[in-house]
Amino acid sequence: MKENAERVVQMRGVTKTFGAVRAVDGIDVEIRRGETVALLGPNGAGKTTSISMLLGLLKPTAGTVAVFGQSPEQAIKHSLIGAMLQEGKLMSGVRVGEFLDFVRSLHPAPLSKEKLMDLASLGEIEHRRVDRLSGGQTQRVRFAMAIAGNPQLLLLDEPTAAMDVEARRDFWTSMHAYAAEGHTILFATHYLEEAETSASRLIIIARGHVIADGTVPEIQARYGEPRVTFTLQEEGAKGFEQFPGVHRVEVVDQHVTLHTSNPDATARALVASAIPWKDLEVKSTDLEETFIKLVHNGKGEQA
Amino acid sequence: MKTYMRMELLRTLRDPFYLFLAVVVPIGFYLLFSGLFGSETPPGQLSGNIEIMVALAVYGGIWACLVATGPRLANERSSGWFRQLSLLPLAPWKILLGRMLVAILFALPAMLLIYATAIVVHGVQMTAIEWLGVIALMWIGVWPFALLGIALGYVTNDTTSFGVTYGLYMVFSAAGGLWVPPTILPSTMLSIAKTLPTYQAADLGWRIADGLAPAWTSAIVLVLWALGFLLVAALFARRAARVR
Repeated sequence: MKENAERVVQMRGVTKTFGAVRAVDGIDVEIRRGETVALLGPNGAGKTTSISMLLGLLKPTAGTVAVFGQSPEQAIKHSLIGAMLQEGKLMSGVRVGEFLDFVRSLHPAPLSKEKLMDLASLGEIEHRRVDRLSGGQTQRVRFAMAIAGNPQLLLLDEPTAAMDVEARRDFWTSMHAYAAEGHTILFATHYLEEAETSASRLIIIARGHVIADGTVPEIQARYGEPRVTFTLQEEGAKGFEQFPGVHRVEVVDQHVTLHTSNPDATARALVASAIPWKDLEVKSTDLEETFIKLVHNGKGEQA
Repeated sequence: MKTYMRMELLRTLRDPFYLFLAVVVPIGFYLLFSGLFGSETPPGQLSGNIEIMVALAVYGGIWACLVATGPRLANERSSGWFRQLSLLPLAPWKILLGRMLVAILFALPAMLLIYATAIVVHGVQMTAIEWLGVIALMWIGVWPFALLGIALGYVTNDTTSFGVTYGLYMVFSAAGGLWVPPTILPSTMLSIAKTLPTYQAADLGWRIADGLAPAWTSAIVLVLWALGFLLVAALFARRAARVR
């Protein structure tokens, strides 16, 4: 039981098909209390479908979904989940303050209004009509609506899609403040940068599959491609293919890139050789390249 | 649910369109019709001023019931608000019930304003008991239309909702004898009118104002229509709520 309570989200073998389309194809995801997880993937990867199933808005075709060991509907009823959907207008004709009072009244232990207004930075627009806000302001109200009940789990589907750069930055500041209180957060995004800076763990999905799952360093260590680069001082050097670990060689003018599975051994071999080199560097593909490669090849856990 | 109803009340009050169609239009019609035909009082029949007052009170009351439910619900189902509402710990039946109660609540002032206009402009007089009966029973008589509104909120979508709701409102009103005195309707039209909730809601008032007891058939017809609307609403609400 205790172990179960720590398991905030549990998806087992979850598949969702729409006609012939497999939007989500057998994913297993487990999220523990206190994690901030990014569900990262290109458009159409199955992010929204996954989140909709976690909210009970869609039923899995196969597999099971549990939130705090119960059905999503039950978890919502018990104010355990707060959610921010990708689209949808709010209640028109009421003011921001009135709206938040209403949402708070539905929960047994809501956040205080002051705290809510503060977390979502709504102070200036408390008296504005909900239907007369800018895109960024609307998202802030939606964020406030999601956290009003002080939920243990916050699910956000592309929360910053409608925001400009500044609004986006403010939004993540608010989100981090909420996460810092020990809440569990799962957000879907197709912005790698958001995932990298705001999440403690990345779940990369593409075409309905989980293709990688872990912290940024873990994913880099596992799927990143190390390489050794240097500049030749004379033209004509050859035979890099023979160096240990090297599986691909690129030479552009005098700049050489050796793709290797063992960067240390490759670098050692280069140093020991008679080849005149300068500007030696050992580095890995950055996360973006890793991400693009993973999504493109559908490699990772599936392979 | 209380706070939800308070929200809905606020929103309806801030909707000028509602106020216009549910309050201003029926009063305008009353002044027009009663000015044209109100003074005619055929021997042995209800005075024109009262007959038109009763008909237009129903006319205003059912619009208040319809507009606060149908188009609004359809709009919110399309806009995504309803979906977000379903992610809050508020049972769907409470949402629908809250909406109907608000609609019903709004029908009352819309109807009272017609009576007030009749009293002020034409000096309409009835006994206190008759007024009480007219006000209370006719108010209850328009309640089934809140159920029709919920049904329409599920049957129609954002683009069709207003047209369909307004169209049905017109059909029910015209065929139910709210625009022309039922006594001058051809007999087939009259027998059709008598099967409609609009006619029967008004007939409660017509009979009371005429010093008669309301007919049981009114109650039966109104309850049957209410059940029918409820059935349609329940069927379509279930279909809409089914999780794929």
